[in-house]
Amino acid sequence: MMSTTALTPEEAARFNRTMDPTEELIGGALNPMAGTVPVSLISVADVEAFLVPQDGAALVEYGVHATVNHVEPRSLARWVRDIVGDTALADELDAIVADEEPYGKQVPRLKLALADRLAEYKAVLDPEGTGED
Amino acid sequence: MADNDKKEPAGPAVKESAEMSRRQFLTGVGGAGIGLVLGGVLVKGFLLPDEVFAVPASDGYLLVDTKKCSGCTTCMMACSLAHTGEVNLSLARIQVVQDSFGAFPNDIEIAQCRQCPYPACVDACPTGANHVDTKHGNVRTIDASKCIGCERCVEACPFTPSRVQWNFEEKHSQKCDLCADTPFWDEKGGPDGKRACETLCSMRAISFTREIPRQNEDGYNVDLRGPSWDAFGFSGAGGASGGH
Amino acid sequence: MANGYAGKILKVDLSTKSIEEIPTEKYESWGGGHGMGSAIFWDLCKDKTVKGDDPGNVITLMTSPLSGTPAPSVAGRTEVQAIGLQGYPVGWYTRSNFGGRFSSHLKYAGWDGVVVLGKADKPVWINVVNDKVTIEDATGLWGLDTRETQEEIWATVNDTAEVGDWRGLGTSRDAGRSTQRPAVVTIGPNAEKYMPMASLVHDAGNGAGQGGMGGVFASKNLKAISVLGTGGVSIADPNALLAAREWAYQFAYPGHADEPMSAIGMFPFSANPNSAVGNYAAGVSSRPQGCVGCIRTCRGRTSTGQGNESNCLDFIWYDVHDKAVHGGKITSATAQAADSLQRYGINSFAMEAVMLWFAALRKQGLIGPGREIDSSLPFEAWGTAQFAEALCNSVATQTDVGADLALGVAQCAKKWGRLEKDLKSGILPLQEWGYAHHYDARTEVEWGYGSIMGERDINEHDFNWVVYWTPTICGLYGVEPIVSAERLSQIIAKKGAPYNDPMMADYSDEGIYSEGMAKTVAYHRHYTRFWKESTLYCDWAWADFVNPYGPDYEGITGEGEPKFFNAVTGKNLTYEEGIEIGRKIWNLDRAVWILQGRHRDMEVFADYNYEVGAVPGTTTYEAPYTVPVYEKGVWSYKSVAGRKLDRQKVEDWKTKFYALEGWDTSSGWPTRATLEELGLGNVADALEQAGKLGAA
Repeated sequence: MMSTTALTPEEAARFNRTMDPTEELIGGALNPMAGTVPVSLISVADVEAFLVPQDGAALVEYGVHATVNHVEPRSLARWVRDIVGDTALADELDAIVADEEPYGKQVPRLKLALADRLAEYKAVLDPEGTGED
Repeated sequence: MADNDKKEPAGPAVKESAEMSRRQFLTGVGGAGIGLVLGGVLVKGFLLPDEVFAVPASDGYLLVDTKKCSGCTTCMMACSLAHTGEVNLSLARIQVVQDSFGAFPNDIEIAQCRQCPYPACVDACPTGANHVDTKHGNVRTIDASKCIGCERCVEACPFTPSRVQWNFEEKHSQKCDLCADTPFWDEKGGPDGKRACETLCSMRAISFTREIPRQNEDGYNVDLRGPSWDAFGFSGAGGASGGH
Repeated sequence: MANGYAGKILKVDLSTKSIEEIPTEKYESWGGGHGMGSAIFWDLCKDKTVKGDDPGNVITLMTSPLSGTPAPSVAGRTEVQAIGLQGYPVGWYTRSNFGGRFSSHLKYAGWDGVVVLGKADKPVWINVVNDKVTIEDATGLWGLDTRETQEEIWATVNDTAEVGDWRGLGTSRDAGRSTQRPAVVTIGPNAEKYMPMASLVHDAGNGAGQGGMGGVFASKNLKAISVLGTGGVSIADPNALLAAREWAYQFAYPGHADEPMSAIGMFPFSANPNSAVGNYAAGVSSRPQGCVGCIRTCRGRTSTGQGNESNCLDFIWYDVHDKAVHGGKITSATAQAADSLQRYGINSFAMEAVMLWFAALRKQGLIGPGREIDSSLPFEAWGTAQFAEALCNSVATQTDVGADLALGVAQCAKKWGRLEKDLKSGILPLQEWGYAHHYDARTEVEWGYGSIMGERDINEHDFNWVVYWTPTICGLYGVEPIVSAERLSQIIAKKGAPYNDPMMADYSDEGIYSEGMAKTVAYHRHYTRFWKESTLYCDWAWADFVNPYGPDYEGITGEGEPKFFNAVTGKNLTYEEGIEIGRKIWNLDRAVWILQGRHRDMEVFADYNYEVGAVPGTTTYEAPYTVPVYEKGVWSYKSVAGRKLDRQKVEDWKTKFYALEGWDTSSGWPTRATLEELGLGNVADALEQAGKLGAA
């Protein structure tokens, strides 16, 4: 949970928006067969869905069919701050990045931070939980 | 030949053509160390036997897991190479039949000899060429020097494709002998040794048992999958997703 | 003679309808596969400067002595060579390769290869049943897709498309019997209209896509080749072959099935069985399925029958787009997209580049209805099976943007006036020769260098597993690789004959321009030309440098390749001698390229490689990229993501490489001395006659 002042509906809508393609964050799907395939991410929800926590054992199991979805964490934090505009979320991501853990260990934390923030957007935009946001 | 003796052409999947009633009958008396061979049963269909003779059961049986099979046909290549010195799918005593476009698990069938307790192929042979080899664990095999090429054993096998083949290069019948006689492989074979198909199967989809399997498809097509097969959504009894 | 060879090569001239036999013995010194193919091409293609669609082009589909044998992960590959149609600016003499069972059946039918010359006056297919070869009318097949074509041919050859029972191949009971279907390699519907994009397809998912080999078939009015054999491959030492395969299992899954590999990383020979399970929708179960004799089973057959035997780029050209519009989840769209490609017979690598390019163009508002690139493709359905099918269909029917894509991707970009600028910015990811960016030339340089010194994206993962994947994956998950960078350099030195230099493993900013890297690339070109492309060891299992089961983690490469080759052939060829034959083949190929116009000045990467780092925000995102480096006297693994290439240093490296190869450093052309040392004096004569022999 963010430790900042409450989100306004306007902020939540802005942070939760689907951006113009020119504002994208590019991630990479690392796959042994194809090299790295760039993936365009244009919303916080996109990034949250793209990040897949997995451990090394999963990679062994899937072998050459393993895919690692990679977003450079610092770029992600910068993108959230500069493009999305959600400084509270960016601060939280920066704090995770600052721990300098291996990427695989950062992913669950990054994903959780994004998911929590998405839930907050939703709570503000759809307080009754009607699903009509 | 009576209508009910015809072997059905198999689709992508290999089909058993032996009549259900016969199999039920045989299963009912199965499990003994001595099998009863119904003389001429394939000709006579549902009729009760006119003559009965006894042969000792084989000391071993090949089991397969068709779901685990990768379709690489190494078993076929190993079989023909060990027995004949050349790699020849048409001379392999185990056949893997597959449909590249088929849906799993019906895209592959493995046709291995069942070493039947009641070997119709042995029974059908007029010269004793197709016989029970008592020196090599009672495997059902063929003495090529006695084979006159009538192919009755090929026809008698109740399964499709026939587990007894016409060796069109050497002009005699041949069948699986559990590698009792492999002139081109230095390993000791037979029930007390190694089998080339089983040894070289890279998926470990072929195994060997000394117990007479249940005389139906499930008796010979078993679950050899371990937990690592969970990843593919069809792990065996040892895996979390169960044997489906 | 029991030596693995069938003994004869099928030569079909479609112009004259002549069917002849070439004694394999004449080309046996080349080993098989690519070596034989190049030597035959050299002899039979009279004018090597013709375009790929010229009737004078010669296409070879070659096997090896190991084809159709139980040597591990080699028996199923078929090597295809011809003057290509995909390359840009020149459709170089090129190669592709496909798996499955075609090569095995060709051997069982009694042939070591098929060579096709000329052009038929109407659509035909070639029917091979053992010794009997006929040229059949393909008028009724020409518009069919690859699956329909195969089903028709199966029914024709076998009287039914069904399989399962023994079928006689003739009226005599001794004519041979088989339970198997004919192995058919075919092209898509009316492929003469999209030749540079057209692949060869065999069974459900085996394709030879790169180079436009399907286009070469189409240009000859050749729809398909079908083979069914009931003969055998005679083995020099059957017991040694059987024993060798069992021996190899200590390095592979079958020897450790009870406790499969747990080491983090990507390993070839030792990998656990896989279907392409990550590419199927949730709930789809799948069988790991392998080509003939494979220990590695890299693709699958599925419970839906969708995506059968497809693999690799067949899925990856579309999976990221599927996931992007489906909440990060794979749906059936990815497998259906693979099936669309396979059925139309379209090159998946080319289509991957198209999708990335179109995504970038869409972002800029440049493509769509009424846009600069006017297209009515259903872009609103991007990421669904509908869009994949529509895009493939547009190429196959030359409608909408497909009318231009049918010319080839680079050729299409040129027509649209976008080639130069989109290569410069990198939004059109074609790394060299008009081939799609695959592995990054800036970071994993042996891949890029090998590709510009050759004629296509090399697509050879030998070093890739150990210098990139394993250290990168381990870095991402905080795990130490099973071998240190220093140990890796020792293993590469041991395997990297004849140079055997640990500095071959140095991918540092200095190392990539060094003599050591010249040796790496030379070794790699020579090793693959013989052991991978001529004896046809599969790229997914070989080379095996690092192996979690091997002694001190050393892989099977070096010992394994000749062990199987010698058991089958009865020869006593060493690993190093094989590599030397590879050097000879590599020089012969280069001579063809030189006749086609190759000069060192042309051997450069697309501009983006020199101008843009592979960093987040680029179409060729390549972060992270962790590789072995030797810096300040110490070996370590280090990320080199974001690196650009320095033009002058690349040129300096080329000079080192040409010198190492014995080529003229100003032109990149082989010298007479080099060619004669390899027994290619006649090739030197031809180059001299063309005024293209390198100066001594």
